Amino acid sequence: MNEEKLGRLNRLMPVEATEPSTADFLLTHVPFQNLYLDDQKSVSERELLDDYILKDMDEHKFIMVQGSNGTGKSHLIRWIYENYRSMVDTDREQIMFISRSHNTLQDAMAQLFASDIFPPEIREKELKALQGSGSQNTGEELKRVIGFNFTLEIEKRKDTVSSLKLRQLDQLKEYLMNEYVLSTFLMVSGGPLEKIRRKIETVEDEVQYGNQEIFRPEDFGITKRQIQEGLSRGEQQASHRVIKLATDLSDSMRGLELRQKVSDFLNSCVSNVIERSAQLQTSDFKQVFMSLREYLKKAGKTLTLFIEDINAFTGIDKALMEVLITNHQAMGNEDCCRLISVVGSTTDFYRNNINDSIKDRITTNVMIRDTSSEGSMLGSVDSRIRFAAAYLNAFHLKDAEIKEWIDEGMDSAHIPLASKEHAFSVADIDGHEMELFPFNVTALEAFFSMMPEHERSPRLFLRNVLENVLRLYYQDPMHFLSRENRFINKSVPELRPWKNPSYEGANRSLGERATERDLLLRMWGDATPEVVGNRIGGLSAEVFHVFDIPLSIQLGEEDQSHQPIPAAEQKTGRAGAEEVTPVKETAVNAVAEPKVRTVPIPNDDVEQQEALIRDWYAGKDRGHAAYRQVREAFQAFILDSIDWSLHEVPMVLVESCIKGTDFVLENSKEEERLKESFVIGKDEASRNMLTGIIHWRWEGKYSWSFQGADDYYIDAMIWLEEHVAEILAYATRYGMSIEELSAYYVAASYGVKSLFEPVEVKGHDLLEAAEAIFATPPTNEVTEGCGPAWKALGERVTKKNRNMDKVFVNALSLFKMGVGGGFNESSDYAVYDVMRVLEALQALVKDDWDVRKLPVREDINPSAQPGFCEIAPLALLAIQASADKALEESQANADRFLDSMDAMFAGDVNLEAIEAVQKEIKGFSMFLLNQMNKNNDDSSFRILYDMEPGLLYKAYVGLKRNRQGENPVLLQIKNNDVSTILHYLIALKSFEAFLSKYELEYSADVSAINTKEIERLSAEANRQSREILGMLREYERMV
Amino acid sequence: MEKSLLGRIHDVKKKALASRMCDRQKKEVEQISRCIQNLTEFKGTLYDFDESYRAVYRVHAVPEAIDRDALCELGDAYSSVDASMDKPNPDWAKNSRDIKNLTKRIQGYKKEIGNTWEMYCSEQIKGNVAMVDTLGRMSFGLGKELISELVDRKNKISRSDPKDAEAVEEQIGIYNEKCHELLSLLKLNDEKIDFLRRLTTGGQKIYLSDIDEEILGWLKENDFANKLEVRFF
Repeated sequence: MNEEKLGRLNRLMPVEATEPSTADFLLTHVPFQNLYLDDQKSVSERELLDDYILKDMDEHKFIMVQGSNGTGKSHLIRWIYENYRSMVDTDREQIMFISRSHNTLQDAMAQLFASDIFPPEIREKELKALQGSGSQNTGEELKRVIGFNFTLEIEKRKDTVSSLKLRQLDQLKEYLMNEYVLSTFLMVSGGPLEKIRRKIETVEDEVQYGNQEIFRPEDFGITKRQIQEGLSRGEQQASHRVIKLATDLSDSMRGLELRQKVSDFLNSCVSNVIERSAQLQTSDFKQVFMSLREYLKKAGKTLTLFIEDINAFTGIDKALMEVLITNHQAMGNEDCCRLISVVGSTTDFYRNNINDSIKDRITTNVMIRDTSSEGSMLGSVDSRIRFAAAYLNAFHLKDAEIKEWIDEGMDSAHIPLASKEHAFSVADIDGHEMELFPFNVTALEAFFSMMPEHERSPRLFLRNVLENVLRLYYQDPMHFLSRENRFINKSVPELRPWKNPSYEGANRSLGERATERDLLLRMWGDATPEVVGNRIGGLSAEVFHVFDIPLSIQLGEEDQSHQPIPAAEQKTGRAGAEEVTPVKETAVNAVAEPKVRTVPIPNDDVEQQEALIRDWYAGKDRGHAAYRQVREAFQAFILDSIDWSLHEVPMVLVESCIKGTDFVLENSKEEERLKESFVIGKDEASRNMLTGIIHWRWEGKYSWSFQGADDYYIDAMIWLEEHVAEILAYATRYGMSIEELSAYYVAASYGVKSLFEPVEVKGHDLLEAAEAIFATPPTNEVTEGCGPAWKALGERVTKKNRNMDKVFVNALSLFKMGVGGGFNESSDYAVYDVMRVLEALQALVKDDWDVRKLPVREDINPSAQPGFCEIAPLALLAIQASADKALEESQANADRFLDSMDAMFAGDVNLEAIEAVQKEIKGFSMFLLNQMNKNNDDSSFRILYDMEPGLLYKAYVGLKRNRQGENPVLLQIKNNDVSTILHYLIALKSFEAFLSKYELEYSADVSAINTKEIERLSAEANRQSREILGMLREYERMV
Repeated sequence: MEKSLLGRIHDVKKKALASRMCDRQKKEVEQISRCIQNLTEFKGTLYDFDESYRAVYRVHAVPEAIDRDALCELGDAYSSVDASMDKPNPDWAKNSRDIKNLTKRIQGYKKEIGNTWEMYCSEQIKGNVAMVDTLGRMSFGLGKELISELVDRKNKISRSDPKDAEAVEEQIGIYNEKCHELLSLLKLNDEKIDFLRRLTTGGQKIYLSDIDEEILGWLKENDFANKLEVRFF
């Protein structure tokens, strides 16, 4: 039953890439009341169809439907389309409908190509050519192409007036090509290049809405530190132009303005860049339509286009516009058939992307006014309920009822009504009772009132309120109201609070399932637990019964009449429900002189926690988990109250070693289970201390500023004074000195990092070595195919769920200056104790940078969740245990690589030979395609020619020397090197198989046919032909 | 030492190009051969047509559709095919298709000549054939053999080939002469012949006034009176 309902929900909601059926669409349609023409004249959708589209059908028409995101442009265009096609002669009128779908160019073009409107001759020629001209690039590659096209566009615009100076344009060009800038800002997920890519290419089932700004000033918010680390150092050092622009962008005074200018400038390039990146030929695109119109004209037919969102055509939108404005009655266009087009556009797109000459040619401009405006779908309580009721009614209709309605011709004036299940969830819409379940009028209004202004669009109301709530209910009705955060999303950031905070406690006294009732009363009721007549919080007993929420008090029978929309709202049609909910006016005010019974508010937290401690002390243990909050309060208290720096214990160590879970209230069972824990003894002093801490935490909100705090403070501090030594001992229980810990962290940071990338330390001074280790975090990427031993080791030292990925971060915390100070993440700068790092590095130098030689203590607890003191030694132990095996694996791979290279180059490997082979391999695919008409996928061996030849040669020479013993293999054969050569080997194997296939295919000993045979046959054909021609010519003389 | 990768790639490319060249040549040979085959078929069809055309041309029984214009157009169409064979790298496949289409056109002409010829022959002997048929059914003792001969001659004329037009034309003359012979043999004067014609030609009526003494006497004499039926209409 619920699966059926959920299936119905998926089909009904028009907010995803799939479109609802015509029947579902018409069932949920609510007439637009907020359509306006250019002259501010209001127009109904029916008038728009009859007077502006169907009238004078021989006239050219270009109708633009404008509105903000989510106002219903697509819905209106679909409604016009559904009605239009039922009213015109479809034999004569050819209709093409391009839905918004994923709202990408790729998707829009796919719909165009799939349309059956094109005759075979156009489909075979122009359409095929257009289809073949599109970009073949996808994903990351496409993003790079987009980036590159921006630089071309900048170059093109250097001659035109721009808000940026010529010098800045040059800088920007290079800035956009910088690898660090690309990877850190522009190509990141959700970054500008990703946004553009998603306009061109459909990514999974994602739907792009609206015309968001692509570049934002924050995309250029580079910091001084990033300039220093990403642009000014190492092999990848950026050019002075890039650094200059980055420095200007990061300037705290002028940077803001420049960031805005740069993003505005690049936004103005977007359309051209998309056009170039998609590689569609706009002239071909126009020609397709021109040919189609000429063809239709000859066939005595006419054309109507419905385009839900022109934004999907970004990149070729200008070409499309030119098609749409071409009037068949204008001189020179006589061969074209008549065209009527109805096109949707966001207001922003219309303003920014459509030039004035096009705007002048629009025959009718229809504006859907914003949600807040009078007459809009969500503009008043009345219209909102009407809008929601249409969807909810359609949702509750049975398939048979819908089928019957379809069979009878889908008359919009006689929509079938779903049967009513519950009195509380029925609304009166124009004299019809419509089912709103699981909502009632109040709930719909309460959810709407919590939507921020900018989220209040029909689409988001449908998706984030109606669909979300329906899904939650029908997926699991038993737990529908169990958690508040299930109802929270972008459009509903929070739920309605109690009218008075004290009601939260009062609700608890009304029986079990207080959490569910809390939610029900706040959203479905009047946000009070007040008992008025036969209702609680405005809700009848039926509501509690339906949602299976027990009540400790008995409510009488209820008048089963449904909740009407407030009369005042119906008359004025104005919203006002944000402050006063409808149910308050109806359910509460309807009862004369209500008797209000308010339940007293208990001080829950303090009382509950105190009761727990009281019971514990009295011997009634509730189990370790029950004291979680007390233990956490205790942890906060000791972290806050002990002067750790005085005892020379680094704060990072304290925070790591003293956690809430480390403490156990004295209890034989728990002690047995948690031997490593710190036990708080069961005595009066402890009980007093814990009681004091409970008040400090919940009454004073982590302070002693509350009435009667003195006594609690004294109890807590006396206990602390007596136990501080124990706590210090516990915090430093590994007995590690800061020096020992530093040595572990430096070695582990170096060891882990060198598993993933080259770390240049040998032959450098210690400061340079420290920089090489700590300037950037390790990539921590375990590459597929690097061999099982390397993979196992890599995973072991980066395992997130065991905190093993924290080696680098912990090391930075450890060396950060200011013992006892917090780590300020928001700061751009940090000061580190370099001397301690250098001291620790000495040990590594002594061992010739071989971390396998560093002694690591063996009493480290390999627990599931290693702490600060355990992470680095565990990482080192892992490396020491597995490095030899991994190195053996590397060596074996290196040998394979060397042998393969020698075989490939017939024993003569040099840079020139590598370049020549790369060129040849690349050219081989092209040769097969161009000369032999064989189209092959070369992705499996593309690395063979894509790889930097120098890198390959370096790897070869390096590994060769290793084999010859010149440079003994240490931990310096990196995972990445290994995986690179492995990838190379795999690719090589793939290429060899590819080559063998063609060696076999072309192995037959071919001896070309003697061309004389062709000459002989040609002569014979000519001879016969002449004879025939002679006979035929004789007739001319004879007749 | 094993061959280097570069060497292997070069080898494959060389062999691939040779194979492509060989494939192309094979294809071309195949296409020219097919074209020659079509030309031969075309020529055969043309010879066949030519024979019929010339025969009916001589007896002026050429179908209207096959006039000078049609034949000139055929010649022109073929001429352009012939010219394209002379160009460098001719499109043999297209030539083959064009020749095939022209062959079909000539076959159509040939059929047209056959139909026209059949109608021509029928028209030439139409009147006598019906009379001979009636006389045959009237079972004269006299002239029975001649009537049988005339039926044979008529069948041969109807089934004749347009190629034999001249000989058939002669046979038509003989057939009509033999018909006269038959009438003389049966002593049929003009009135009787007219009576018989009207009797054997569909759609004509014979009124009582047409049966005069002489006719009635002739009918009685030949024992036909009891085979006559008179009725009101």
